[in-house]
Amino acid sequence: MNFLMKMAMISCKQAALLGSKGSFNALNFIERIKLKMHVKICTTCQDYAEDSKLIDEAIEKILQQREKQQLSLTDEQKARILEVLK
Amino acid sequence: MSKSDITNNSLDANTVVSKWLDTYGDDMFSWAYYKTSSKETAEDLVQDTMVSAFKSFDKFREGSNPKTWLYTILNNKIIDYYRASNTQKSVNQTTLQGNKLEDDNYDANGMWSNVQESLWSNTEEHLLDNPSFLKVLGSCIEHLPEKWRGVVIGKYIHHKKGAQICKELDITPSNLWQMAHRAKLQLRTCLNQNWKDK
Ligand SMILES: [Zn+2]
Repeated sequence: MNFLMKMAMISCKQAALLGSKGSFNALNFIERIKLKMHVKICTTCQDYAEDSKLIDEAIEKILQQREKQQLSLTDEQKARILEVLK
Repeated sequence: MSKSDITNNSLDANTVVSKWLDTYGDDMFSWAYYKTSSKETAEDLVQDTMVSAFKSFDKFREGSNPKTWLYTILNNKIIDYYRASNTQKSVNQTTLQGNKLEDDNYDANGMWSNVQESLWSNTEEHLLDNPSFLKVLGSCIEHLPEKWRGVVIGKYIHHKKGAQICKELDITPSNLWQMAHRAKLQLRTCLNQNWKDK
């Protein structure tokens, strides 16, 4: 088995886990190569990577919106909260 | 201290805490929702904060900023909320759910078994600008196990700084990577089930 083949020999599950680790900028050099090699030859993981990126961006958007969003407690909620102080 | 003194004091505390709820309640509720993605949990956390404020009212120094004081309590409650899911029972339950999720998605060799159509494909529109897509995703996030939710939200709040998230949730880096992976699988499955068919 040549070097490149050996490098690419991780499962999709391992690749996804490395992808997750990579999203926290925690991959070492070898892990980065392994992940790259796998995704290059695996179309299912390419799809997953796209979805994963989309989900990350959407989460970011949702939380950005919420960061600015002002919610209001209803009178009913306030009454419920104060109920236990009585 | 006479009995009437005690009654007067607790009456005061009650009035003041109610006033605080009126003044700061909405902000605290918004903050707790932002940090937990659940309105129900956010309401509970505001309530717990008010109870703590009421109980330790004598520790509040007159003249200091009530908002700062309340937020210190609230932030501790939020940390407690995520750490409460460190109990053996809760950990086991989440592990079980995670294992099942991986079994559903990968075969024995770790290859994708249940190939899901990409969310990107067959769609012209930009999903990030689609409010109903974001709404469904929001509800998918709300239904994640606490710890996974903490990881997802922490990742955004702490700009992907793993160490900070691990500290807050009291987990190891490998826990973090695995939970983030499992949360992602769960969210993708949830989106496929609840959004694509609509
Ligand atoms: Zn793959």
